[in-house]
Amino acid sequence: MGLVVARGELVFSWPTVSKSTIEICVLGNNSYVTMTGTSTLDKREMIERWDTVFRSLAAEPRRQLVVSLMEAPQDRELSLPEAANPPSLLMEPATLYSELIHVHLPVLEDAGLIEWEREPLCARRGPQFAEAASVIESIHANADELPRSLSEGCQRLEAHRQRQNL
Amino acid sequence: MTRNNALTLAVVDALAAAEHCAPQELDYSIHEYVDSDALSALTAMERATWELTFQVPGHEVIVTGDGQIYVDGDLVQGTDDLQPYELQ
Repeated sequence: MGLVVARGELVFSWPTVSKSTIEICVLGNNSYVTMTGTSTLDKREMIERWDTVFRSLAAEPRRQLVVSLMEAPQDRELSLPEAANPPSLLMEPATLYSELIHVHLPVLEDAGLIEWEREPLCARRGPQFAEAASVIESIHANADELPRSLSEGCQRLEAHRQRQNL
Repeated sequence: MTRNNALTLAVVDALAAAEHCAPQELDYSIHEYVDSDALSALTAMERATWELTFQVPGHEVIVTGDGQIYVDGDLVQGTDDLQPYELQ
């Protein structure tokens, strides 16, 4: 409350870059300084991570690969295209192979979700893998609540739905 | 329907043909030179006229809204028959 007489931004650059808005207010004879709790940059980074995770998961072979990696031991390398071939879509392996190399694997790698190698084609978890895994996990845990339009015909979700109904 | 990567893959095939190799033998990912999501989004624009030019190692590629692909100025193939992948 009170009259804001000055507003500025503080930038801390150690240990992580973050920014806080400070306000100097005058109320009666007292003046005080307020500082926002969460810094703007942190918030922006967080929102960008959400955008990146959803963009990364916006293709069935990419979701399938993340699920396959979730089900495999942490450091396991999985062979492709098998690990990315969704049972509900079953793409032709040669087409999927090309699509993985030229589209899906670079997208997932740019997001830090996986690391991959070309000869032979395989993928393992990347440094940010948990971001995608946690989103998929939340969806699986609530498979029962999803509208039919999202779950019907999806073998993964139907399996989770059945497990919840046991 | 999943994201339509048909145009991106058609460009890959065209470049492989220009390099006289199989599509899986191209030694780079096309995604490093053009955003495949952007290509998909352009493909989905039905009544728009557009043309996109980008560079890959050794070649200049032009893709047009009516599905033509040019590599170094030469028309490679039409992609009119490309259909989005349908979910089974």
